[in-house]
Amino acid sequence: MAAEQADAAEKDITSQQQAEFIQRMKDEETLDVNFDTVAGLRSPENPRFLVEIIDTFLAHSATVVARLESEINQPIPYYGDAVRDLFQLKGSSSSMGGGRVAAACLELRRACDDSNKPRCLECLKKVKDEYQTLRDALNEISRMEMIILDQNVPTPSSSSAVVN
Amino acid sequence: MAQQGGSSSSGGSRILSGGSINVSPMKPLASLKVLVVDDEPMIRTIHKAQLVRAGINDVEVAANGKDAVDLHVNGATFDLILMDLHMPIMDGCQATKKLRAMGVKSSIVGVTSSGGAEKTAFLASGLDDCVSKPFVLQQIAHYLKVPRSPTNPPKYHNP
Repeated sequence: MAAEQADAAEKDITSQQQAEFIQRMKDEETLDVNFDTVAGLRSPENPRFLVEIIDTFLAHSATVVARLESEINQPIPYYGDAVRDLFQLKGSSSSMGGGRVAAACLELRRACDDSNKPRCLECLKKVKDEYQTLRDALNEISRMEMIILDQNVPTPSSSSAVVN
Repeated sequence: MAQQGGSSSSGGSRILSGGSINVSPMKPLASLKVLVVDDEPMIRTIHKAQLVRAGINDVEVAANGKDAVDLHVNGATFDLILMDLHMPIMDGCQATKKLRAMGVKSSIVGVTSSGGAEKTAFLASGLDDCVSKPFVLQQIAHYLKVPRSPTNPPKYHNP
C-alpha cells in the first residue's frame, strides 16, 4: 500500500514536472499554443500519440534541415529547392508549436527569394539554432511522457501466469 | 416549420408535394467522409487525429494532389477535402482545379501557412475556404456541420 502510494506520488510529480516544463517553454517562446492542440490529441485509445508524433516530427525535420543546409551551402544555392523545404519545415514546426522556427524559416525564405546568399547563410544559422532549441524541448517532453506512460502500464495479474 | 401538402423523405432530404426539394440536412459526423491531402506524414496524422476526435471515423489520407485526384478517378467521394498547397508531383492548386473540372462538388478547404498572392491564387482555384496551418477544428466546423449542397458553387471559384 505504501509502495503504491509512493508510485502514485511519483507519477503525479512527473506529470506536474512535465506541465511546468511545457509552461516554461511557452514562457521562453520555444513553444506556442499550437503545441497544446497536438498534446490534446492524446487519448486513452492512443496514449502514445504525443510520443509518436514528436518522433515523427523530429525524424522528418532533421532530414529537411540537413537538406536545407546542403542546398544553401552550394556554390550557387539551390534557392528553389530550399524554398520547397522551407515550406515543409515551417508548416510542420508551426504544427508542433515551434513558432520561432517558423518565423526563422520565413526570414530564410525571403533571403532565398532575393537570391541573397550571405543573408541566406545568416538566416540558415538562425533556423538551425531555433530548430535545435525546439528539438531539445520536444525531446525532453517526450522523455517525460514515456516515464508517465510507463508508470501507467498495468502490471499483468499473477493468475495470468498459470500454465495448464 | 409547417409542411405544405404531402411530403416524403428520401435519403435525408424532404420532397414537398410541389416538387421542390429542400437542401439536404446536415449529416451526422460519424457518417461524414473526409480526405486529408498533405505531403507531410506528421501533418496527416495530426489532422486525422483531430477529425477522429471530433467524431469522424472515415478519414482517408493522400500524400499529394495526384493521389487525391486518383482517388476520385477510382470512384471515391468525400464530404470534405482538406487540401495542402505545397506538395510534390501535383500541388493543391492544380489538384483543386482538376477536381472541380472533374465535377467534384465536395467542400474543399485549403490548409496552408502561405499568405498573400499564393493564398489568393489557391482560393481562386476552386476552394470553399482557406485556413492557416495548423488549423483548429472550429475553423472548419461549418463544413463538418453543413456539407455543401450540390446547387451551391464553390465559394471562390472563378471558372
